[in-house]
Amino acid sequence: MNPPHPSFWSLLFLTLGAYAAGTMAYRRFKQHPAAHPVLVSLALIIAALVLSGAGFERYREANQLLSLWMGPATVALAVPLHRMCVQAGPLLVRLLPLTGMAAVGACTLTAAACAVMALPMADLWSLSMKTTSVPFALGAAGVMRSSTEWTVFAVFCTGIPTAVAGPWVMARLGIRDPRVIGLTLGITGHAFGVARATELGEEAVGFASFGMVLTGCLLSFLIPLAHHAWAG
Amino acid sequence: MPSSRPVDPLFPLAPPKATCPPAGIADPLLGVAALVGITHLGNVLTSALGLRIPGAVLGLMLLCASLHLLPWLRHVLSESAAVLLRLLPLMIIPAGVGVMQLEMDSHWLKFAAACLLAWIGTICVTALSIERIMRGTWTRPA
Repeated sequence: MNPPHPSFWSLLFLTLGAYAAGTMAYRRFKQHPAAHPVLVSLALIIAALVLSGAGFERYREANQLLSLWMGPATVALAVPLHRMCVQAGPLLVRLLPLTGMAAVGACTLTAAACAVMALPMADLWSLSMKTTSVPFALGAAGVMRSSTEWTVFAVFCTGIPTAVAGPWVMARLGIRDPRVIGLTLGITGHAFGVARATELGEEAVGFASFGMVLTGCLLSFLIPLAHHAWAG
Repeated sequence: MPSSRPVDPLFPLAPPKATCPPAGIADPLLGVAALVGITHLGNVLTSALGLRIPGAVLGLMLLCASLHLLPWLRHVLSESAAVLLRLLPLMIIPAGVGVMQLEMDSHWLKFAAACLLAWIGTICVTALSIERIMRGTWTRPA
């Protein structure tokens, strides 16, 4: 086995240390959605990489140890999904098609926004996975061979506004039910939405993660299918 | 007698040996092994059958069905799944750092604007339709 590159451990430490700092900051700022550990650590890591001049390629290589576990962790999402399906019981018959419709509706609106902004077709495929969590979006981007950077950027550009302003927007619409808010946060804001749902209580988190996992699964099927039908 | 048990100088706060049976460590590892195995199965199946879905998502669906059919599987997996899911935010960070490679030009701005535009539409339509459709069908009122 080849010895790792000299910078290997420092780059791996960078991720873990920044994430630890991010969790501390999240607690310090009383779990404010804009201080989410992932956002804080991303800012710290990008700043460190730019200042030190270490390339992204080397960073990515050193941190494959972490990112490759995304596969088994995605599979692990089946456990909370199954638990929610059991808890929902007879409601599931209504919740499943409802979540499906919401996910497809989100894609339709994305296509409309793409047309308004006159973006090329390649961007539509990156944007269409934006309401799913990063593992789903990356998986679908891998199948469609679309840009992973743009896909992840779209995911963050959707998750952050949802976590920061989602409940505020829904309050303006006159929606008070924590279950509706939770489910909407999960469907539109994936993991960031679920993090925001924690302040609404256990039940809202359950609905949010249910919406997140279901939207992810559904769009991982439909978007590559639509891409195949379009591009052949 | 617990009080007469010699205190390990290196691990003075370690619990008495009897409370952590050696078999205990195997359970979470068994669960992680099962999750890795299912991931592999999902990848093999998607490539063998030529399915256009990510292997891990197929694995997720297979596992969800298996959890329904084999109730004992829930005990094997609950602990390891919780550990992996707690670490999931850490795993997505390397992918997130990749965003630094994008050039912040006019195309970047247009892309972000399209994101926000679609976001505001999505959240309004989703929240209002869920509220409308689920009203009266919840098992108990909020």
